Amino acid sequence: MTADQVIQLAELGAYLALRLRRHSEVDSEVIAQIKALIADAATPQEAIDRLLAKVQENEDALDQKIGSLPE
Amino acid sequence: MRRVLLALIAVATFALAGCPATTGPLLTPPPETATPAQKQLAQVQEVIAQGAATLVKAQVMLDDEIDQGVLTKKELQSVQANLKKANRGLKAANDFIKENKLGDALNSANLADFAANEAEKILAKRIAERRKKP
Repeated sequence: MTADQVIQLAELGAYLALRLRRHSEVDSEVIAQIKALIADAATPQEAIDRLLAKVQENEDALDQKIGSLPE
Repeated sequence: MRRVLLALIAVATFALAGCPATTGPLLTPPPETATPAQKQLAQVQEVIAQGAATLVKAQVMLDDEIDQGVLTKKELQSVQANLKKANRGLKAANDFIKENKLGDALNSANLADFAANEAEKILAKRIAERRKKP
């Protein structure tokens, strides 16, 4: 194994570990946000309408963010 | 060396993509006295809510990846296209509920949840592929 390969492996391992940790953080953060968003919904249907509005809001923001990236 | 790398990537990709939801029900469950129809409606609504949660998580992960700058614009657009499909599925499921077509609503919601999970897997796979390239 060359030194470059060892460095590459270490970098990859570190990056993936960070992503795994972030994935777990996102899980907790998003569930907390979602629970707060629907906490005072009067009906399950109202809760769903709020959730779908949030999904759409995120989708629009992502469209704009990706669209602004260089080709 | 190559096999170790591939194994590491495979395990990490699986772990990234396959993490189950860490929550119980999002919506208030129906009372024991609810009719079978009311219970079925509640079940479909819960599937839609879980699908929306999965989708929001995938959106947050995609937003993160845009900031990381690891993936190309085309790759990001491809993942976003999958997330849009999932969103359309959830909207369809919600519309079916309003038309009282609960079977169709459940199918759409399940498909949407599947699409959101698939988008997340594609995202994880692309990141792993990109990182292993020099």
